[in-house]
Amino acid sequence: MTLSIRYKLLAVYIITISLIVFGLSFHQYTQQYITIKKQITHYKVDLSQRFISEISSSIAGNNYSNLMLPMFTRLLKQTPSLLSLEINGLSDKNDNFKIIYSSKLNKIWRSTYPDGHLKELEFKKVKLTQRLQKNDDETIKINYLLARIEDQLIEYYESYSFNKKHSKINNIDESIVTSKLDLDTWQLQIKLPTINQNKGTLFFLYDVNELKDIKENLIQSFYLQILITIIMSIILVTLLTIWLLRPIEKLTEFILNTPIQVGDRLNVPFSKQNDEIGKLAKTFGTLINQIRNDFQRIELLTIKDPLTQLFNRRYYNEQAPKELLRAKRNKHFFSFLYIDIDNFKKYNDFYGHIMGDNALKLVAKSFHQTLRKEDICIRLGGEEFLIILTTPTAEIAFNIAEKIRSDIQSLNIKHVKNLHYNVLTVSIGIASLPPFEKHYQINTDVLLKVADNQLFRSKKSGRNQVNQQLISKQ
Amino acid sequence: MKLWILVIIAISFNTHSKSIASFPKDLKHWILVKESMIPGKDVTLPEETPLFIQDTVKTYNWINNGKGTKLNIFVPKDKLEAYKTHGPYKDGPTAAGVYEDSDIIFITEHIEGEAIYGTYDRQGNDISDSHPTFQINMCQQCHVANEAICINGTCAQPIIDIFKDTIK
Repeated sequence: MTLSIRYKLLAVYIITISLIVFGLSFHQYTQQYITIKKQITHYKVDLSQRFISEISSSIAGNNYSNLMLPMFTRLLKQTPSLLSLEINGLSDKNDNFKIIYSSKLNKIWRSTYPDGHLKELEFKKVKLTQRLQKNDDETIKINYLLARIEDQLIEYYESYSFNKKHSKINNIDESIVTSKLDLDTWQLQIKLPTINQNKGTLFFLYDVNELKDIKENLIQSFYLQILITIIMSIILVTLLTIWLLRPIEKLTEFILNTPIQVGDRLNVPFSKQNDEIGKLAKTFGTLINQIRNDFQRIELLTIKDPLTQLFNRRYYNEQAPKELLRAKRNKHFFSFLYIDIDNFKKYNDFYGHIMGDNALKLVAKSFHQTLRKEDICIRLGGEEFLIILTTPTAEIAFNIAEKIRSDIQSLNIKHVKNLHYNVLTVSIGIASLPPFEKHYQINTDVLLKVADNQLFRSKKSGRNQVNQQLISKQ
Repeated sequence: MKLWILVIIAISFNTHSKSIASFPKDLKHWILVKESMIPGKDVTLPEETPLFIQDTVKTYNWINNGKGTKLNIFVPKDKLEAYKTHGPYKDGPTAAGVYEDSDIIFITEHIEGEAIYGTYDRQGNDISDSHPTFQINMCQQCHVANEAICINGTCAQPIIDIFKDTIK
């Protein structure tokens, strides 16, 4: 498949612009997203760090009550988008200290469990359930206790799940702040070291769906930006391509529609411009004119007799039928004047061929002087000529023939072998076709034959004569 | 799925605000085992005061218009021995903490060895709804948070031993 220059240019421009825009937009989007992500992470880290001091002192003193007071829970609850907090540490007396806060459960609980804690809870649950089935007076209290045990079971399972989650962001150096964004849940995990003597770790889990929204908005803007840019560039590039290529297309169209054979001097569009298109148009103009000249020269060579500059037999073959039709249309008499130079063979023999050629040239020149512009004069070969005339009457054709004959005699070209005259003379036979109806069929060969017969008559009658025959319908 | 059912149950538990422990009809026959006090709001505790006590005082010193109250602990006669060892306790009310100057009684009861709580006035009316610090969740939370001191629902350490000299 071959693409036009327009589409090639369009494709190249669009690909180039798309790549540039994609690259720039992607870079911009990435930078924006990274910056916002950093800002949100820093903000969450700052929020989390507010708790370090109080929590650290509680861990140091193994003081659960301090952190489990409603006031502290409220503080955690008011922390924007905090989902959970796990406090893990070692008190100054090397006791394990572990507390979990869950915003989902809206509670905080200590999660240091002795061995067999789960079994103990399950055992209590079974015992209470059995008691409930006895249907004694303590149903409300037992239901309350069952709910409390269920609550403790949730705490236990939640604690287990927290341990699993946080192991993902544990790293070797416990003393540094670590953050990890989970793109599946859009949760930001922040790990902070505590500042108590025996160290500890705080695992904060924040909901950062806002970041997801921002990312989605950024992606939307990114694609929108690319789309708008591509649409704009397609429009601009199309206009630019049209602006650039339109002159070339017009020039091509002009050249295709310009006949090579004939015409006035070409006025090629855009040839007055001083740019590359102007130069191209000028070059085209020069080339076409040159081709036209060459073509005309070649054409003339094929239809003209080089000696006399009269038309040749080939031209007769092409043009005579057309002229016949034209005469029929115009309802004019159509005449063939068959002309032969008298005793020309003897002239050549006596005066030589050079003189013979000169005589032929003079005869031809004489024809031109006598004939009208629209009359056609043909050298059929040797010393035989044919003149095609369209005239309102047959007499006019005869008169023209008579004038030709007398003009040539008046040239006084010496021809001693032309008995009785001693100068060059011509005999003429005329076949004149009246303006019959359109459907009347006759061809030029018939006319030529009739004219030839009349020429023969002129020769027989003593030469230097004109004889005419009107073609009748019979 | 199971977890969500548990969460719903837990929420219902967390929002429980009525007293669960029953008010003992024979309270006046119970034995006084400890005498303590909640100091008034204007009292500054020494720095070395255990944090548990500081928290408790901070939570309840609004009582009696901020003037504090005498706190007495009573235990039914049949649970005295168990009280000394912090259990195991048989079913029924186990201990009563009486804010003598404020008509507030905190009750601890045991069912299947588990402590449950209630807050009443002297007439046995449930007053757990009347203030956030009287709610049984608050009791439960505090006892769990301080389980080293509040063993099995009863406190091993008198609230204010340090004020022993001032208690009459």
